[in-house]
Amino acid sequence: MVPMRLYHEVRGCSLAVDIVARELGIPLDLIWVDVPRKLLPDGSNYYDVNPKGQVPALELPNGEYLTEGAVIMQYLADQRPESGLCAAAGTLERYRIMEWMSFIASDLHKGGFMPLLKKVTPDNYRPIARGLVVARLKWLNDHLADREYLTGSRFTIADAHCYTIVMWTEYQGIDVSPWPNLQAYLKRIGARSSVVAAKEAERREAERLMQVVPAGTKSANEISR
Amino acid sequence: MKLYLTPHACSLAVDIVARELGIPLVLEWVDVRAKRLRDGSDYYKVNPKGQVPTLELDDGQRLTEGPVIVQYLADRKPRSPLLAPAGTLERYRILEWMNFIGSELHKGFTPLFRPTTPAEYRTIARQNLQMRLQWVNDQLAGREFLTGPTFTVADAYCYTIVMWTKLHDIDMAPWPHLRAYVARVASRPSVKAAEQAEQEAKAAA
Repeated sequence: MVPMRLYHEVRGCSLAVDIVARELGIPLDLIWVDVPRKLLPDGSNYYDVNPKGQVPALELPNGEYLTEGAVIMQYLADQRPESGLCAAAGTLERYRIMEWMSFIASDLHKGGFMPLLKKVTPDNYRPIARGLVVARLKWLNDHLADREYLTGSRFTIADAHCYTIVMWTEYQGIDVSPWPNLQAYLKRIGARSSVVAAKEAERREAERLMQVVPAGTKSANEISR
Repeated sequence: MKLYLTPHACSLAVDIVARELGIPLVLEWVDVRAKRLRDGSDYYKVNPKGQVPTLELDDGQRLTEGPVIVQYLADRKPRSPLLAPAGTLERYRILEWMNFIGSELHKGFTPLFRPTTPAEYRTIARQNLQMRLQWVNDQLAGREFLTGPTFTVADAYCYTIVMWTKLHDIDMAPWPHLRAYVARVASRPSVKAAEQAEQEAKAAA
């Protein structure tokens, strides 16, 4: 079978989808998108793939595109129900995983980090946005006090999602050392072979971008996501 | 089951969905700013995140996050057209909309609700919202509801959030498809009843 295509970006939340696919052993063809310019590697228009202009998008076997990372991760995990990466539909465990995915996508990603990632955000709003992120990270740290992963002892798609977004603290110079449980959690997930491989793919693409684009003229993800 | 909710919050979507499904809920009104219930007790004990909605299940467990609660409720009535069965592409399409509404639209409005948000950022937040609303408007051209001819949980959520344009004086004039959609959804008996319950709760507060 031809691998499905994942439309991806260096430092994007699409990393979580790549991690999930590798955990599941589902091969994906990674297509790196120039998100600020909405261009695909062959120069064609990314809006034709995702009219919202964001990554990730997944091309399904029937040729349709599925968007929204939190939904793509569920779709992929549902293709391999035996993996345990996401609980079966209709179980309380499944709703608990979705509860986390909703919190991460809305409060942590869009309501948290998003304004910090945008260049146009005025300086007088940055400390407020940072404060919101910090409050949520502290909350996560408290939750992780007696748990290995968000929903218990098992790594799920919610952890792939959470890890990806919380790692943005590195790009924002937010020190996670005040939160030892969160720090240990990131380390635990960072050591998984799926995560190492997904980040390696990202690193290679970042390196390639550095070679084709002169320094200072473009940063892959600064404008919008 | 008991629903913790606040007038003009995204919890309205859950009440609409429950009424569509014919699932009776006990409505427990929360002062979400003060984090207090009507009897003065601490809402953080119900939901440590301090947000509405929260659904208390029959076994006493609590479920948070509106887009997840509406799925839980709709899954109680699997024959209802409100949500496609798990594992179908139709289901993922509905979830796709809910994720978009929850992350882009809902969280797009959040800075406008916070008194601490500086004017410069308010302008940016409004522009972002206008762009998203324009996109939703375009999607609704020739479509009755977000995913086609059927009203789903995504529409209950979308309607609830788009109605916040009124609270923030965002003019809907540029978006005729969205305006017609909002009017269509507002005319549903479930929506009228849920909005009436909010009015009564506000009057009683």
